[in-house]
Amino acid sequence: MPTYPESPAPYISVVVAARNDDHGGNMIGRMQAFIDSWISQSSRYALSSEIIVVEWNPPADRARLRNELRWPEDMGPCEVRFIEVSREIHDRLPNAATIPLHQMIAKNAGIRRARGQFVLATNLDIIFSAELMQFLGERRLERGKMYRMDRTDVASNIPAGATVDELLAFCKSHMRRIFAREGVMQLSGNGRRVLEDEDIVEPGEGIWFGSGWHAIEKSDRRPYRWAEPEAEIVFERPPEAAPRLLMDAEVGPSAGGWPLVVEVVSPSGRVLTSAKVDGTCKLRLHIPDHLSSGTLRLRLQGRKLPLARTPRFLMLRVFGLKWEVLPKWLAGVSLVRGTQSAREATALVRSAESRTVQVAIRPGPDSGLETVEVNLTDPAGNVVFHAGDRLPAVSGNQDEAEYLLSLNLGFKLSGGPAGGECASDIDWLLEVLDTKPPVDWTLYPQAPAAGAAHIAHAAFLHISACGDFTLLSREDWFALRAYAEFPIWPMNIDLLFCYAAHHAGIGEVVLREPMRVYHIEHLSAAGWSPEGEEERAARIQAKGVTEIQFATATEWIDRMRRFNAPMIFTLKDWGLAGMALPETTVQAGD
Amino acid sequence: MDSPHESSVDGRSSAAQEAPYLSVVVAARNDDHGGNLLGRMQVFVDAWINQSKRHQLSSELIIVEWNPPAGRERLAKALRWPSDTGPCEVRIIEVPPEVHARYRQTAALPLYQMIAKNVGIRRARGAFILATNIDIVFSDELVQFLASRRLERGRMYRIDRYDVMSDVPVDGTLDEQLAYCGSHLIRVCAREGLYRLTQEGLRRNEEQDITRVESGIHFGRGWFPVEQYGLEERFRWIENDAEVWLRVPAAGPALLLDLEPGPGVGPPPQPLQVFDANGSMVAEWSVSGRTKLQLWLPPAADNRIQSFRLHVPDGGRPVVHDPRILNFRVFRCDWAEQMPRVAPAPLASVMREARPTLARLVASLGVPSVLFKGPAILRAAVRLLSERGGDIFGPGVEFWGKGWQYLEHAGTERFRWVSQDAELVVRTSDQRRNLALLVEPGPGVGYRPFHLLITLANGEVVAQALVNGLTYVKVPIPAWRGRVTALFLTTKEGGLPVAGEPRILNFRIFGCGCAAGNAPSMSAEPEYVIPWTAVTVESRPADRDWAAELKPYRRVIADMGRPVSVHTYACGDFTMMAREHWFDVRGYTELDQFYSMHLDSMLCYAAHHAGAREQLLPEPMRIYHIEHGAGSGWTPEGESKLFARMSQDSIHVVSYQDLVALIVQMRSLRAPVIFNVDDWGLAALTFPETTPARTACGSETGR
Repeated sequence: MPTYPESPAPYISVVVAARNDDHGGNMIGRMQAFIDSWISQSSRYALSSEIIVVEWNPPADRARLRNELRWPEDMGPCEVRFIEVSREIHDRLPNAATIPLHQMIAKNAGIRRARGQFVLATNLDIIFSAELMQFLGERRLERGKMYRMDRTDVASNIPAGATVDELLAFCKSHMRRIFAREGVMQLSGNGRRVLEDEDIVEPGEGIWFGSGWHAIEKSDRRPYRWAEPEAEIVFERPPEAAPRLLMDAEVGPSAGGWPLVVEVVSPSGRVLTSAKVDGTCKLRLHIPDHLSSGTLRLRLQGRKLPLARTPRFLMLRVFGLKWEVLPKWLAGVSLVRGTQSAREATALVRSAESRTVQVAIRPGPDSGLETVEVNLTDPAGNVVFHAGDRLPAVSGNQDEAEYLLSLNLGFKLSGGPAGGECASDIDWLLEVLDTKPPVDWTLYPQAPAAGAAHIAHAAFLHISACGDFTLLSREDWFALRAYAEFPIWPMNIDLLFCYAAHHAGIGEVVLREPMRVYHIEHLSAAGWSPEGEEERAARIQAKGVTEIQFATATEWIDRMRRFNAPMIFTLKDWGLAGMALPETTVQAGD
Repeated sequence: MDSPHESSVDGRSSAAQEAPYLSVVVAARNDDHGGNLLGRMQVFVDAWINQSKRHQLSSELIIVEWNPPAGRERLAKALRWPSDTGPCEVRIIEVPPEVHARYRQTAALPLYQMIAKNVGIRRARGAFILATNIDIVFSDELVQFLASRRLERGRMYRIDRYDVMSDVPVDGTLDEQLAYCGSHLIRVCAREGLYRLTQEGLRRNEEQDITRVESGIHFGRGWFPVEQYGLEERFRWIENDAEVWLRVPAAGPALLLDLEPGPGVGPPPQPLQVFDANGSMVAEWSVSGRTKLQLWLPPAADNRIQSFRLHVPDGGRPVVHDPRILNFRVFRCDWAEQMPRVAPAPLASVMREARPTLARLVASLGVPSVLFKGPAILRAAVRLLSERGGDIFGPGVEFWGKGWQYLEHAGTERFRWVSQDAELVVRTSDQRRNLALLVEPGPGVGYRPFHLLITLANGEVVAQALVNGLTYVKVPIPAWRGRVTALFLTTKEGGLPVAGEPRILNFRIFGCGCAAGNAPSMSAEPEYVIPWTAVTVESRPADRDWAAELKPYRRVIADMGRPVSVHTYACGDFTMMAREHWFDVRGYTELDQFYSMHLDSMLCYAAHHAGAREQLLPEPMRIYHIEHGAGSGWTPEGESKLFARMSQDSIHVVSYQDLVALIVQMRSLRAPVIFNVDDWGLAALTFPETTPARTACGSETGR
């Protein structure tokens, strides 16, 4: 059995709030998965940690949680502490009868008593991916940062009694939806985001949206998606489509009436092509012929004005995305590009590759193709190359004959920067085909915030499912006095905390894939899930408990942005500081 | 404890010296801000030190000298300091220009006032901390109260500020300075607003007010300044208690109030009460809609100024666009038009008009009476009829209200029908102490004799008379000279319906007025309090339907309950609470690039909602603020220049809308809003600190 040095302060404290009321269904099973995966991975990655479970208002007729759960023989470098907030304390708070668990006050009670250098506020049905645990074990977290990440929901039928590796494998193969910065997106079996019923691409188009695309919204029943400053497109070009993507787009209110530069970026981060856009426009992206599938990112460079009624930045929305369709008689035939731009001409001269010029030929109804001649003339007018011949007799119906003339040209580079990368670059081009003047966004619900141009520190934070993963240093939690402790339904309190942190100078760091937190789905109406939203709102309404509406939260975010200061609602006694709460520590094998 | 460094105090907290009771924190720099800065500050420093000595108040005076201007003396040198500061320790904490330079608007905002005060508050050692300014003088009663050590935790102390003229004698004694302040008042910064003062110290009316200039009526606590919505009528809002100051002329007219309920009160009808100066309730109305009320006040013995208070028992509901409590909108508060004195009509026309009436009177007297009393009664009746003007009411009738049917004519006669409780306000005089009536039974009593009752508002019967046929009734009225009495004419008999007539017509009255006659001697003042006479003159639907306007916010309004409107006027000049409360709310909001406007009000509301409930210190406790001198460089135009420069340099202010939204939020969630993190008051830095009292005797320059 390995031994671990006794350390008074663990590296990280994991704080969850719970009560044994089967909230969400199969609560004990899901909590067991959380406990098992954390403890065994703590050992695996030598992560010194403590789990703090704040057991709030325990139901009188049920066992305490620690007695319901199985504990491993070896707790490794992880300590598990149960802190109990009695029914008496709960009953002193307003709305005690309707809200049996004041989740934010409970988490605060745990955060207040945490001993780790860093404190992660999360929930009891979260499973941490191996890559995430490994990262935490590397002790590279910093003070003055707020760590956030996407949440991935997995099916609720987790294998009972599975090893942690089986559990993680199950999660990886049963992903249902993702809570990303831009919203909640359904996932298909292969982990790709599912197109919506009425989307901006047709299902057979071979185009999918990755991160950075907001869900479908509609204007005059016309669907569109807002793009984040970086938005990912995954494509598989059907064989009959031309290698050109057509995009209907409109510059949004956050651009503040200034032109926006749209860059097309490769997965490695290299800018392939770019164009300046304004107003409502039609864009054509030329993709190299040989590239039939891949991933691109659109990167938006421009102003980022904060808006009055949403914390998002709306810089560009896209109404449609499709491959250019050719006339039927040219289908399958590659045409050389037009030469509208100077860049194009340069590109042709500098190409070191062979190029093919193809001409489709369809003779008229009463004629037939007889001869083909090619003359190459130099600038002085001399014919430097000639080829030509009569065509052999063609059998079959002459009227419907169609020919393809291919000229294969070979170039030799005569100086200047060379290289494969450069060569492929010049195959990319973003053309602006048509521009209509911009609308006056101040007349729309997406209007910029008052004095938006003077707001310097606005950010659109990753606030989706932030209650499931918010990680800061202990000092930073204390400086912000943790979550607001309103004794109401805790909607939006967690995201307000994130904004407070940002405006206290604690910058957001999003941990990326393959680091993941998996959330085990539960029955609707217990927590937030897209299906349960209406049901939950109805339930809250019926019980007459106030909550912070998202519109209110947006107003407060606007205020934090304008003041560039956090909004703190708690006093020095936050987290039930003055109260001695009974605490028990779980022993191995309990 | 919040965190290891949140409650730590920088510097000398561990000094063996006993902690002072009160820390006084001000922020300053020697830049002649406001003009004659050193002169005003010298008065402040001298007065505070002298008063601390006089009342043995253990205190420390913390002056945070922010970003001292190069080329000018430090305050420790520029000011005179007494060699003995008694129980007051003076600490000057210097925030050097390098620290100021960290902020983004260093040129336009040379003094970050709130951050500077926080520097002092964070380092204060007193059990209580008062944040104030360098041009404030405290009344002796206030310092005496502070020295009595009766301040409590869980309170935030606030007070009215009196602005006084700028020539406070800098070299005068403390008493000379206080006497100057007390006698050179310009205006008061009260909870309801800023008011200029009259010679008597009353709030001066505005040029276009809800009362005429000559009315002599003044509006005290509980009245907000005159407002106007668009081009509509001017009005003033009242809170839960609104004081009216006035002189009541003997035999003067009634006070007329024209008002309507606002959003502060519940659904109509709403009670509105009158309390006299002794605190007894003396009158009450029930108000629904736009209403005209009248109130007859007893005159004071020597015509001295007196006050009463309008009280709104069910007021105090908040709104979402304004932090004030808006109970009633008062459009007019002035003396009512006095009833014009009617010249008696010529006898011939009276006789022509009233011949049938008089004929029935003679008939009803019966033969013996006609012979003995008839001539006198007829004379009296003719006189009553001749004095009744165009209606039926004669001399002494100040008002008739509910219970009277409309004026009717039949042939040449005119009269009003009464069923029950016809309201009448009469003013008796020495000559006319009786009420005279010409009454005739009607179908309601079956035209039979009935007993006419004359009652007070409480139902007490003061007189009754048998009415048999058309009868001249004369009864003494128990009123005092110059006083008015509300009476009701009624009967307990009758009530018979008339076919085709919805009204009950018990009796009709042809004339009603005060008449000569004996009455019980009433020379002595009554031993009991006479209710003041209050009537409702007219009522119509309100101009604004607040319930409908505020319907979208009713949930928030319900959440707010009946909140306190904190006194935020000039609160930067006096906000005092226990040290722990200042630390709990982390001092004033520290915003880079923001001008200090509204930040002090935000602190008051945050403290109030963090458990330091507002308490106003009453008169004669006061603070005096020395007005910025004329010609000193400070002008209102200068301020508008500042604002223009601010918008250019993208210096921001917390807008009034922001402030109101924050107040609504704190009220509805019953929680403060704090914008600082735990390093507030530049806690991590150590600043040089000097105690000038022991080191320097200031130079005479710069004053």
